[in-house]
Amino acid sequence: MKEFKAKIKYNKKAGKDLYIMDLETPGGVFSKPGQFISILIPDKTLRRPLSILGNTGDGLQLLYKVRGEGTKYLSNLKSGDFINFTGIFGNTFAPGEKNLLIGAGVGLAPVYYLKKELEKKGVTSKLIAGFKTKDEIPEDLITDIDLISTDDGSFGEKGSIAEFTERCIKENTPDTICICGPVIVMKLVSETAAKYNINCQVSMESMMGCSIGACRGCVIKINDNGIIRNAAVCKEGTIFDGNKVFFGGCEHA
Amino acid sequence: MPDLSVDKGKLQLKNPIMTASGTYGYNLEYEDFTDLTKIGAIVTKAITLEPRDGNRGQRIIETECGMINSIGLENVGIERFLREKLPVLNNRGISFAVNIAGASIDEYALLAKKCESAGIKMIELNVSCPNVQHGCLEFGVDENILEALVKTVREVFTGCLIIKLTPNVTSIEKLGLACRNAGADAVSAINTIKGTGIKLSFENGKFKKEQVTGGYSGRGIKPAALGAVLRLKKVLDIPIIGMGGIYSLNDVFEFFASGAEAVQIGTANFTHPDIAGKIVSELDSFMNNNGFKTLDELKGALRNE
Repeated sequence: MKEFKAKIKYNKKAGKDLYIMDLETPGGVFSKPGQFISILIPDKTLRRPLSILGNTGDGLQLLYKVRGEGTKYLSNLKSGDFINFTGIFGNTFAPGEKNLLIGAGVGLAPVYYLKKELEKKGVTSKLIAGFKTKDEIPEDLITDIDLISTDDGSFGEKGSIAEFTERCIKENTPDTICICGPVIVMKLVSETAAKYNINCQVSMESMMGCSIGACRGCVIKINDNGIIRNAAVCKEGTIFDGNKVFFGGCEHA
Repeated sequence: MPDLSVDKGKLQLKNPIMTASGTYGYNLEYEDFTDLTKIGAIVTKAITLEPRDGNRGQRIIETECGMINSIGLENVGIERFLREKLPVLNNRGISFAVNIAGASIDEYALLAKKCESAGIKMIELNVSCPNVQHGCLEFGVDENILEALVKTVREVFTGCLIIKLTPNVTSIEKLGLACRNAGADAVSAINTIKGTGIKLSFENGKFKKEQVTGGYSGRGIKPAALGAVLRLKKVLDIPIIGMGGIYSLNDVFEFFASGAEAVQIGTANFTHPDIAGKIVSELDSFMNNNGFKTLDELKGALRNE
C-alpha cells in the first residue's frame, strides 16, 4: 500500500454517466482483479474507492459511474491531469477451473478484469452482464461480454442478469461464480449458486473511511464458520464467499 | 536541530503531533504510509473490557466539511489488545496512549489497572463517545461524576492520565476543572460533535435518503475545537491536547496559539495517511529555518507572550 501520483492518459465517456479512465503510474503498479484504489478528491473528507478495470503494465484502468460530487469531479478531468490515489487495496477473486463471471452495472469492472486475466492463463470463463438500459452499457467492453441483459430490453436479453444465472449455470456448468453488482443482484445470484452447490464469490461495496481497516466504518456482518462477526470490506474484502454474507444488513451500501 | 519535545509534567512526548483515537487503528495500520516511530504518540482505538461489535447499519457519511461516524466503539476488548496489539507497539518502539472506555466507574478502574499492570505509560479516558447507549458520554457531561471517575482511575494508574472531553456540554471549563481537581495530567479536546448527516437523491419519482447520526469530525469542527481549547486554557494549569479539523502545520499553530501543548490529527488521516509524519517533518523544518530552538519558544511567539 502506498500513495501514488498518476497522470491521466485519457478519461473518456463510455456510456450514460460512465467513464473509462486510463492512469499512468511511473514504473507501473501491481494489482489483481477485484482490488481497488482510493482517489483523493480536493476538499472532500473521504477518498473515493474505485474498482480496477485493468492493469496496462504502466498503469491502471478504471470504469466508474458518476454518482455524486466525487465522481463528477473525476469525470471533468482531462488527459494530462494528475490524480492522487492510495492502494492497492483489498483481496482478489479465487477463480476455479470453469468460471461464470457476472457484472451488474458498473460492477462489471472487476469481473471484466478477471476475465482478461483468466484469458491470459487459458482458464475457461464466461462473462455475462446486466444493465438498466442500453445507454448504460460501456461500448468499449461490449465485445468481451458473452451475454448482455437490460432491464427494459433495449439491448440483449430483457430482464435482470440474476434471471439468466440459472440458464448459464445449466449451459456452462461452472464450478465458480464471481459477481459484482448491487446487493440485491448478488443476493439472488448467491442463492441460485447455493442451489446448484457452486462456489460464489461476491464483491461487496460499503461506505469507506480509511480504506485500510483502521476505522471500522465499512464493516458488514459475515458468518465465519458459525461465528457471526464484523468484517471490514476494505481490508478483508471486498470479495467474500456469498454464502457467508448477510445481505440483509448491507442495503445501505 | 530544534527540540520538538513536550515536557509538561507527566505528559512527555518526543514531539507534539499525535494521532486521534478511532482514526488510527491499534498499531501498525498506517505503517506503509508513514514512519510510526516519528509520531509523538498514536492513540489507540477505544478499548473496552469486553470485545464490542459496534453499531449496525451505515456507520459513516460524508458532510460538507467533514463526516459523521457512528462506529459504536467496535473493538477487540482489553484482553486481546494486551495479548496481540500491545507487544507490537512495544517491539516497534512506537509511542502510544491507550484510549479506554467503560460503562461504569468500576469498569474504567479495572481497565486502567490492567493498563498499569501491563506497563502502559499513558492512557486517555474516553468519557465522550456520542455513539453508545450506556456509559461513556454520561461521564463526560456531569462534572461531579467526571471528578469521581477521574479520582478513582487516578488511584490505580500512575502514568500520564489524559481525559478526552466532549464539546457537547454547556461549560467545558467545568469539566476540565473537574479533571484537574481529580488529578488528571492532561485533557484532550475536542471529541466529535453530535450531529446528523443526510444525503438525499431523487430518482424515478422517489426520494432516496441516507442518514447517519453520530459524531461530526473534520475541517468543519476546527472553530469549535479552537474555541474549546481557548476556554479550557483560561481555567486550567494542566496541559491541553487540542484536536478537531487539523489538516496542516498552520492548523497546528492555531491550536498552539489557543493554548494547546500538543495536538491530535484525526479525520485527516483518512485522506492523507502520511499526514502525521509529514507534519512532524514540517514542524521540524519550520523551527529550524526560523530559529525556534524549543517548542515553548515557538508557542510563546504564537501566544504573543
